[in-house]
Amino acid sequence: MMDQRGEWTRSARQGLIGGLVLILIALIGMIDAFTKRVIVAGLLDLSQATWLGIILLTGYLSAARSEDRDADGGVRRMITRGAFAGVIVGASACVFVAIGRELDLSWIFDKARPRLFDLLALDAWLQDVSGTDLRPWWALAVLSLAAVLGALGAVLALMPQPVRAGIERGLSGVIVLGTMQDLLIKTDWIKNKPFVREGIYETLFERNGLSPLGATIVFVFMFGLALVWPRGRAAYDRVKHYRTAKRAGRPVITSRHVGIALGAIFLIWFPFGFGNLWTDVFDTVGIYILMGLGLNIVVGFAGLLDLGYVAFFAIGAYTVGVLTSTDSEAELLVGLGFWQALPFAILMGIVAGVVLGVPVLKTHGDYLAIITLGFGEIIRVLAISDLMKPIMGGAQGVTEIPKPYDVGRLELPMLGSLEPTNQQALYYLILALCVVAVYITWRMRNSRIGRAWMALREDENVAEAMGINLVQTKLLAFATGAAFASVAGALFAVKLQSIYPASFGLLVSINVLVLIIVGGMASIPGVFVGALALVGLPELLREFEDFRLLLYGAVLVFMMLKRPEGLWPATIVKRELGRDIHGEALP
Amino acid sequence: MSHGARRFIAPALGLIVLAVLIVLGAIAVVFGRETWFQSVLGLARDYGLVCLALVYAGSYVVLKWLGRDPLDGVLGGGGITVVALVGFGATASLASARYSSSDWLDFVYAGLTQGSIYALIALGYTLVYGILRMINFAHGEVFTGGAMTAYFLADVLAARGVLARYPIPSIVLLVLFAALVSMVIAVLLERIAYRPLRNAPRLIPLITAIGASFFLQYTFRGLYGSGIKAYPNVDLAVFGIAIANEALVILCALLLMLTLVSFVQLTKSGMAMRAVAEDREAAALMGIDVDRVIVTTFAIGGALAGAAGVLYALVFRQTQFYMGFIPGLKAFTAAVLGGIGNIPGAMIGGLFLGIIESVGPFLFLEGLGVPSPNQLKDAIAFSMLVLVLIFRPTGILGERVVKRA
Repeated sequence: MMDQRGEWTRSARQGLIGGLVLILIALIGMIDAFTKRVIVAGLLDLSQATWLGIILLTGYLSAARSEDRDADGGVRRMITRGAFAGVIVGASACVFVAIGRELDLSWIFDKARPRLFDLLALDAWLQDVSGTDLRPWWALAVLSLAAVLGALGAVLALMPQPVRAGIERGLSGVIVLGTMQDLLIKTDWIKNKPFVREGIYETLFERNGLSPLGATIVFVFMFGLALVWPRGRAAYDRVKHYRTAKRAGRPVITSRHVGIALGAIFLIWFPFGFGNLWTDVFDTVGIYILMGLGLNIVVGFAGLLDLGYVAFFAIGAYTVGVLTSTDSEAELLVGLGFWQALPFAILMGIVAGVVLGVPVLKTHGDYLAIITLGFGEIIRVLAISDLMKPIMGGAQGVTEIPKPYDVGRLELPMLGSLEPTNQQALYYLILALCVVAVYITWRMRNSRIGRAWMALREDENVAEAMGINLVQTKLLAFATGAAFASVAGALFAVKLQSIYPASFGLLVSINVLVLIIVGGMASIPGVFVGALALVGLPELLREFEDFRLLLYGAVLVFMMLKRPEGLWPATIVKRELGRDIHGEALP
Repeated sequence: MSHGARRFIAPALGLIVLAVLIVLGAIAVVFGRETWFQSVLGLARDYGLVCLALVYAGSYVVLKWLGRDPLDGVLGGGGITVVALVGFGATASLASARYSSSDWLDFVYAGLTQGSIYALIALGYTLVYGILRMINFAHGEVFTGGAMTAYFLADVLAARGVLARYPIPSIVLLVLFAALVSMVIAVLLERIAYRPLRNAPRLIPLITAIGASFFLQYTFRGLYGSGIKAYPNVDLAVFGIAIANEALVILCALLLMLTLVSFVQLTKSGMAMRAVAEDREAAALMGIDVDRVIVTTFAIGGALAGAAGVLYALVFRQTQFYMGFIPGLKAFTAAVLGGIGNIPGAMIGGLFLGIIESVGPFLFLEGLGVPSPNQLKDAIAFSMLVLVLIFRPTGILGERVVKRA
């Protein structure tokens, strides 16, 4: 027999936490901002999805963490407890709404306007869905809805795993597609192809949000996919196992090769298919991938936590900016081309990497992090100051940086003639440099140097005893990382065509660090995953801009608490942390 | 030469260079403006980079010859060059007699005000570091939380006229309120973000702290809006004598520090804190509730940061969501300067950093011909941080030997 009182207290606590989270989210302004994204037309927008999702999640967690399942009558009790937790979330919201409507909180809390409380009381939504005016009984309506949703959450937790996964995938599919709607319609490929536009897009979507039919289709599709996927995967593994056994020793085309080839084709086709909006976003992602690859060498491979990485980015950007600027009012006019300036940028990056690396050779861990952070801030302060103004332009920065290419008409033998726009040309430039960087990183990781870095990361003293030259190895890591960052900086300068000191704050360093952590330390594909998730998504979802850094912080804390190895962990890290993923304490 | 003696070569060389420069400066000040010394200074300024290169090369050769590790030469040479640069700048600034002694006093006074705020924040870093060996990167945001939340109380008090009628009780009330808010934030932070990572590898809590810092910063932005909130003005007079806010801030800070020291030294909880800082396992074996001590530490650090927030707002009059970030970094610098983990060190480090920061630009940089030197105030603070961490990671007082820091 379980300790029933303990279980109920736990559910109540979860409900309270859920309620507090909801109130916090509302006060921060997320609920209000999210109303702009309609998920299912006439039925659900993102703010309601967040609101109701929290209740569902609370119910789910209250059941998922319970050990009552096998007990006699446990299922019924768990569902009741889910409903109970949901009601507590609902009740906290109701109390909050009542207080907010009674007292004017907006002089303290910027976002506590009457509209927010109407949204939280679900006034408009309840009226739309039920067709009657429920406003006089809003509290009752919210509470009963919360009870139902909490119970549903608990039911979800009790379902067998494949069904649960299916429902989860289905719901997230609907939410993601609904949120992404206006990005999809801005995609050239969908906009300009009548078949795709009329056949697929217009079936799924209405003018604002998924159509109810579309939502159902997406849900069923994702649900089915989630059910089929594990079996297909298992079948594929069996076939692969059989084939590798049969063809031992001969080169085989694996799924990995196919994946890489498909990815390459996609990336090359991308700017033509997706249009300028997406290309622009991918340019930024590419610049961050370059930086991520560089910082991955320093932090991921060599284990030197560098919080001043933006310094090298700034050095690359300023070198290219100053050397190529055509601004006739600048005091220093060199007027080189991009390709002539790029080697200088790389050289400056390497020199800076070594110069800033030497002083920190003997420091470790947090001290290293803080010193490098200090360096980054010093460089930024110098860039703004009047002292460096003759060269770096002070707060006005460097302007009129020319584009690196002069695109004409390309005659391709098979495909006819192409006329890439400037944006597409920049995209290919960034893509090419990313490919080079990945190749360099990959070769270095599997070389003697790479092994030396990893030895350094694991234990400096042992590494030294094994005959690794610490000074050389560390400096090489700093210099390589710095070179990558300065290339990224150079690209940043020509992308924006003007640079300001404000673009080189500590935030850039943190961004890059976060993306490699989210992707997975020391993992090369992880850098791509991290950059797409943390740079690409926020660029695409502009109204999340206000909450971007907030979510960054939350993601960082959450990842460190729950999944320190990242989304796509490197093999070694995965092996090391493997035993700890499933609930055990960290090493 | 023994290793022990070798450690003092670089500082000694630096001191000698500094002493020579100071003597030269004194000569210049005594003999007035139009002397041979002015022309020497002018010459050194015209060929500044050459002189610096010579100093660097010279000290590098000497140190490399005396030391064992080539790194000693590279680093020590750099350090001595910086000392020479600073010394030269100071001499030239003093020789130019651009600021009168009352100007210098004003700089020191401003520095002391700023420094006592740094010291209060630095205590939070030092307390936590002493016990958990982790840098609570989000401490600056704890400071922001107190200052921004107390703004609303200050606003109410000012609107009702309480602030004007009873300034001292209202300031005490504000400080207490901010301390309470910050304490709650700090304790929650410990509970949610840090406690589960108590035994994780060192970098993981640091990264968590960075995340928490951003989360809190932008939560405040979301809650209170992104605009600047201006604190009401307080006119303070005791027995008819007007007291500047700066003096009040210094006084309050000293009082709080005194309270903290007596808490740590005299009470039982303070003793438990010292025991846990000394050796966590042994303290646990002695029956000390380590978790409780850690929570107490966070609470005290948070309360001090909140109080510092109100004091900061009284002097600078404005609060904004990112106001705590740079002071947080500076306070960390101060804690490192004084020797992290060391309570008196944090106080001395804070005051020292505040003074250096306000005097430094005019003393060191003006003489080097740097235009608008005050812009580089932050650069001076961070350079101090870098130099201290490289050359004396144990800080000014340096009692605690930092092993695998």
